[in-house]
Amino acid sequence: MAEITTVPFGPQHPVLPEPVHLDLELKDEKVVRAIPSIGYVHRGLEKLVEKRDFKQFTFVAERVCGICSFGHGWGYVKAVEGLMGIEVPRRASYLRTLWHELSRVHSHLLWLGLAADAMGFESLFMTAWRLRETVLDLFEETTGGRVIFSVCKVGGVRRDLTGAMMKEIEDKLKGMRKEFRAMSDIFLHDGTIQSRLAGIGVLSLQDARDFGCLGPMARASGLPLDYRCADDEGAYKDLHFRPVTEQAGDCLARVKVRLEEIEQSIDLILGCLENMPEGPVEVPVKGFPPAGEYFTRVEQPRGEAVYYVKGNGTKNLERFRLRTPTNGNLPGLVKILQGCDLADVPNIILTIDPCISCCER
Amino acid sequence: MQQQFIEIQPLDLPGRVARFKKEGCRLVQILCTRVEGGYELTYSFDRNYFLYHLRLTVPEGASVMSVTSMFWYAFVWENEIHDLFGLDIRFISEDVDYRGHFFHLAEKTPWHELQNAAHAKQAFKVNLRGGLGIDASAVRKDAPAGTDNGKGD
Repeated sequence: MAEITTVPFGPQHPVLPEPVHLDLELKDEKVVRAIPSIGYVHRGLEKLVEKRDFKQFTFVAERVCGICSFGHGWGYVKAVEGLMGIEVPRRASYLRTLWHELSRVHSHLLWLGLAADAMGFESLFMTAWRLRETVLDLFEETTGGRVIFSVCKVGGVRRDLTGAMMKEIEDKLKGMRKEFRAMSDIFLHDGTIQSRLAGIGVLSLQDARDFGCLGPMARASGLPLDYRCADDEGAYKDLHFRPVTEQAGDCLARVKVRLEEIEQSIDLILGCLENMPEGPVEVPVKGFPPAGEYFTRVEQPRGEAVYYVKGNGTKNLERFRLRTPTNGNLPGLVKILQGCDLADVPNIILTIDPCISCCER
Repeated sequence: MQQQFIEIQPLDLPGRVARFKKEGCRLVQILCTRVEGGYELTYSFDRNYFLYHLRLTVPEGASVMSVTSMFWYAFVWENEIHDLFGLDIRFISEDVDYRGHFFHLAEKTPWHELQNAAHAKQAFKVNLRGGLGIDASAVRKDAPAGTDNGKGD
């Protein structure tokens, strides 16, 4: 009987964009057990809420992560607005939805590029990131920032879109869609990708439930868990949102879900542009958050994130807490790594799209 | 957002969590907040996008039962609370009980014990300066300890 060998994986590894450590216990080439540990990029951002006033902290919340930055800003202001009983104008909700869905497109394209790079498919990696540039350019034109926008504020948004901007977003997304479909075909039908992803890292529907999986990871196993279905602030109800699901639960299914979600996000953005309500984009905010607490959720590109704020009647909040999707997907990763080949570990880890800086805050 | 808070006693936690598990709810998160004289814990469960929050207060020095036997994936939050807040969580599943080593931080944890130690050191200095007219550092060079995670290894 083969001996158990422990191989350390990370925190620095070519396939990992961010540091996470896994102790892989191997029997020959098979992983018997994976033990994750984190803490290499913990910045204690939640604690800063005691030092910054509730409006300033929006900028800190956005810096929890560079990829889902807009969503974190939105989640935080949504929680503060809930605590203060502020209702934002409908146009601001549509604009938030639009930027959030653009962020999802950018996040998924970034991830597809990283996945292609991990498989050694360099031209596909460059294609994905070239398409992502189109989205980053749109961010820059509409918000002034390419990664962190700071357009979300308590009470609404800082910037409005002009008619010309809306036309440009529509034209660029429609143009990008053609190239995106050509790239999707490669992801879905190329032999190299099929052999690296199909049937690898399978997570059953029951396991997705039992291990608390979220986002595309859960949806790729047939679990239709998507907070956008219940979101009463964004434009999702008006746009008749339905979650994308796949049934296979393997690495390829997780790729398929993200590819379909990019198409869906483009539809949602076009829907927002078409139905954009007229009116103001912010309401005045008077006073400080009252004593009390509020939970809210936002469906980030990686899954559901939970935001909690606790006020005490002063300008500083007493507590801010963020439960990120990677936090929820780590146990699922441990499950799917059991029994896989050592050579498949990098691809499997990537397909959960881990965001460690989010996870550690 | 639709949600409901339910106040419970620490001893009732396993029974209430088991009931949520039986009803098919999903454990969404565990929140820990420092309060005067202890910790406030919130266990959030989701059913059809409705959140139920179990709220309990654990006094300083007391412990709380782990829920990993019902929701295995709670180990991420339980180990985080243990490592960073120093709350003693009993009977975390053996395979995922990190005993204070889940977070690889450059600084020692839990935070509040460090803060308490720093305050104690400061008070010690002030008392000695005022009472005896000498610097505490000359008397006692080492600061009060308080940086162990409780369980050790």
